[in-house]
Amino acid sequence: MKNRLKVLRAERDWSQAQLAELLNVSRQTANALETGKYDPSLPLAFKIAALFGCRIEDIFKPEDGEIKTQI
Amino acid sequence: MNENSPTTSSSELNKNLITGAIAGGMAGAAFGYGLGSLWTGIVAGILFGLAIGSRLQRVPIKMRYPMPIIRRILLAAGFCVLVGMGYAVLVDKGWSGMRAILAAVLPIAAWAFLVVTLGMAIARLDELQRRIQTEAIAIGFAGTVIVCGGYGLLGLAGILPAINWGMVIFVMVLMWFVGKMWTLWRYR
Repeated sequence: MKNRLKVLRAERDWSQAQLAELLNVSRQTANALETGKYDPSLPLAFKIAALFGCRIEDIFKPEDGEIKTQI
Repeated sequence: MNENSPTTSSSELNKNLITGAIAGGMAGAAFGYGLGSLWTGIVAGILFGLAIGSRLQRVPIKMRYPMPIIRRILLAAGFCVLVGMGYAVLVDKGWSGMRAILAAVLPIAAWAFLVVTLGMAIARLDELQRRIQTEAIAIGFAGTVIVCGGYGLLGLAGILPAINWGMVIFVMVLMWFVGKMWTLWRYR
């Protein structure tokens, strides 16, 4: 999953530690989210979206070929 | 400030030092008793605990777990070791009947306390930390089955000597550590 967390955080001039504190997670988790190593749970994704005032799909996007729909 | 954003205040350091000293003292008492020098063991344990307590503050913030959780686990582990010493003392008394049974199952109460403490600690972690611990426990469990099962089979075949199966706990802790390092590397 790709995400725009680093850009959104930089726009607000927040450090990773500040972001972690605002989301009530560890800095390790904030870093893993930002680097795309870890995809958040739905509740955390909603929390992130609310924090940045956008929709989840504006922040997280699936990698090419990650989601295949069967018709 | 939430629990996942550890502070580096002196009060945190003091709490870590006190916890380290208590846990180290308990473990030192057990080892000192086993080696025939109780007070030397306690003093060495307290010094070792103080070193661990001061070391906790130097772990990079990014890698740190909430300090209250670490302190609680340290105390529970120290208590476990101390109860192990109590078990050894009581078993040596050569009791029989109900007293012998109670003495024999004494460590189970301490293990249960440690397991509940670990469970409570894991429940208070954030979702990635919880995943890391869960995956580490799964790897630890699978690794222990493979290592101990393999050793047992070789022992049955007469290739390896029989061992004390209490070693399973140490293998489990070692495998959990390997699992934790692996998952930490994955989500680094």
